[in-house]
Amino acid sequence: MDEGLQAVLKKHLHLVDGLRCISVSDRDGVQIVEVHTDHFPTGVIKPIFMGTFAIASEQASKLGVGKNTSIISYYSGYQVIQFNYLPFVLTFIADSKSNTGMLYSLEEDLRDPIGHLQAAVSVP
Amino acid sequence: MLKPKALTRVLEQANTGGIHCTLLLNQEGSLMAFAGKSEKKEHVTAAIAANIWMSYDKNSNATMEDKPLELIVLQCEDGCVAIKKVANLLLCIYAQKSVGLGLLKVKMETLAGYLKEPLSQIAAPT
Amino acid sequence: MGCCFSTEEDDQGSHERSPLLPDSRTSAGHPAPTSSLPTNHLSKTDEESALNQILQRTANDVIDVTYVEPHSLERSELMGRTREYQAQIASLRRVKSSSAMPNSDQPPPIALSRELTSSADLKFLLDRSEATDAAVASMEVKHGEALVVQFAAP
Repeated sequence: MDEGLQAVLKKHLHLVDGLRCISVSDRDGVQIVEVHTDHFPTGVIKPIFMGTFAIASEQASKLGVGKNTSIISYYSGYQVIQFNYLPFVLTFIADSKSNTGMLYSLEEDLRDPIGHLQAAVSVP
Repeated sequence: MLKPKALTRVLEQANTGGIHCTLLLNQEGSLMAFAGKSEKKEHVTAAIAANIWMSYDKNSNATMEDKPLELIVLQCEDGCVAIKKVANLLLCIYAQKSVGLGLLKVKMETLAGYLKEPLSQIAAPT
Repeated sequence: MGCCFSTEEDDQGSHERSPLLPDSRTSAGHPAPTSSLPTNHLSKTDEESALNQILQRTANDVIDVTYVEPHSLERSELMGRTREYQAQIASLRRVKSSSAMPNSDQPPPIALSRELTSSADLKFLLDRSEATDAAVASMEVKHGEALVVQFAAP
């Protein structure tokens, strides 16, 4: 287990009200590191949801407004933000009432740690 | 049937403060109505938006504890696109980067709220 | 196929008109002198990479919107990959992260003895928030004519 990265994510998990899960996976949805609170929709971090992001992000990059950087999907009760670090995907799962802008600034704080991860992990 | 001109006049009310265009499309990605400056890309936008919506919607049943999908926002380097289902059609707003996410959401909710009833009337019974 | 001609600036990276051989004398904005790179110097691999670039660019232009099921991984592959990632991040013991809270490392007496936000600033913020909230709440679609016309029953 990587306690260093996990500890960093854990610290960030409590900085935004309603944030329930921070996960980093590869494009097929295989978990690399993940932290969460007691209850969250576990289905989101399953490979099928993550695989959808990889395809959707690729298509969204062809909208003619530049490369896709993130996709937010709002459900009743939850919001899921997936950030394009392909071949890695950073995912936040939060209550729908959580402040989306704060979640975006949280992502900025996590760029360095994710950069370290990108350098250390190679995707098959 | 829907009055195309009246529909376009409603859609174009959203096109202020950095919103490029507003589209109404069916779930197969065909354009139903369009308001904004045409750049001949709207058919592509419609097809991509519908496809992404369908992919997420299909997944939400299996992965989101049956919570229905309400809104998708695609953030790109030079702009963003918001998609929401209204009756059995999809409403899609295409905005430049400077548009605040909150304002985009409010415009989407307002427009969707207004269109819901008339669009439900013409929705084919399923 | 004009591989050696770089007649236009292209900010989207290289394509079939980009010079295949790097030229140290070429700086951005100045096309490479074409005479110094005769085409017969191109090896087979250069041609292949040029063709691959064209292929890549075409692939970028093609938008496939048929619904594709994300391919699901075999359970064994999933487990294998998870183990591999665990091993790789094991080397990543220490991760630096920028602090999300400025001055959070100061001793409590110093942090707590900071000047409070002035009541004028606070009032300004509250007023602005309320005004924004009111503006957002009052947003509505201007009603024109009815959107739906009913067909007259025969």
